[in-house]
Amino acid sequence: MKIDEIRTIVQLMSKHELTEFKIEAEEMRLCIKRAGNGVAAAPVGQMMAQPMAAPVSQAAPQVADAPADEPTSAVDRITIDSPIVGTFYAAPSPEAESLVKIGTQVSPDTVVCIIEAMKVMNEIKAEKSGVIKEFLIDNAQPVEFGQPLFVIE
Amino acid sequence: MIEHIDIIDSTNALALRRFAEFADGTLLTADAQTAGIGRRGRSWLSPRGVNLYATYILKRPAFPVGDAMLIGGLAALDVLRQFAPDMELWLKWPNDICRGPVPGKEGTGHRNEVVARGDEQSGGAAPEIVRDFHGRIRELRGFRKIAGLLAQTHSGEASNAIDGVAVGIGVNLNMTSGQLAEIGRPAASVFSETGRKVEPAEFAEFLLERLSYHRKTAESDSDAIFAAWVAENALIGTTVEVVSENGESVAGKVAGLRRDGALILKKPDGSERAIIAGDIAPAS
Repeated sequence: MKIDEIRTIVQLMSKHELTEFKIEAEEMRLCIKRAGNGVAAAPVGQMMAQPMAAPVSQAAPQVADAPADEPTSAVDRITIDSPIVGTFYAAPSPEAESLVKIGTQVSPDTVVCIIEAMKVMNEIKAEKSGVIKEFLIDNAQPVEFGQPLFVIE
Repeated sequence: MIEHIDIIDSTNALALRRFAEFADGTLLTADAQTAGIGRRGRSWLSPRGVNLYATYILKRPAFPVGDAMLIGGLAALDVLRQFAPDMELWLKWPNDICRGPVPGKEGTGHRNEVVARGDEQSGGAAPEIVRDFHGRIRELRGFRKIAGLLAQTHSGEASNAIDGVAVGIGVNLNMTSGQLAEIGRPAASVFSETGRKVEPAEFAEFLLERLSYHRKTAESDSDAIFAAWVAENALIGTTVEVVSENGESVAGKVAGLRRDGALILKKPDGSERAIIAGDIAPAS
């Protein structure tokens, strides 16, 4: 799929206020999620939602575009995903060590990162068990609701 | 209700550790903190019996969690004004209360402008950003911080479902100029600015009353609490620089604050950008 086609889909999603779009074909799968009206949907019990840093007129989409038969694609791997929209911090302070590293064994109650949303700090728990295999985001970067943060195994 | 303890690592940490034990609406206070923290883990100097160190506990609030910061900021501002009516005080996005003339706004008729101008600590202090070798802000000159807030959510075991929030509120009440110098950033206290001592326990009583008041407002009209908070953010309309933790810097005029807490910057090329996290400084 060409980038212009993805861009057109994003524009149509924005125009019609759609928050999620999925398509599957022989050679590809595509999933796009965006914040509705600049504010992402949050699961029940999560009372905060916040758009990521972006030009005011844009709701930046999250795009995963990979062949369906590739085992390492975003669709197949096990990830820890962001439960809220905000800013990702790997450590409690800029000088501190990351809460988890590659190879860290996590359990559902392990705090894996901090996400600042609506000026409030949220300790994010793994909610899964496994070993951290990959960081999918850099420190102090914006995250969307549902965006994969870590790959675990 | 106020629950007071003698000494603790941090009132926020205690509130989050023993969240289930505290009633909704409790204001937890301490004489001293051994590991007081501010935003992004910055230390909060907490000498015994000198200042207010408190955490307001909100359970399953009937408003967006982000409003907890608005409630805390407005309540602390109210009580500071009660104890120091001559002091010019204003909110600084995202979580500070500052004293002194607003950079770039002198002469705009803000509260007690003449008194503030006559103070050598703030008069003529040129806005300036001091950075470390990573490009991160170490010091913001040009105004003085007198209080700070740190809101942290609480969630259930092995779950990210939020069930409440702890709003940490630190107010410099009786620190001397020597103690303030130890902070390493421009800071003020009620005592350093007015010469008057404030009993932390008395401040806490008034604070709880104002917290409850603003909470009721948020519960009945979330937009009203936001509007009140925006009205106190004095840097709106001024030119600032916002620096993120990784050193990225954006300069522009503060066009406003968005309902989700983002700062809207109008850049020199006319485009707007929403900033959701960072340190703000007056542009030099």
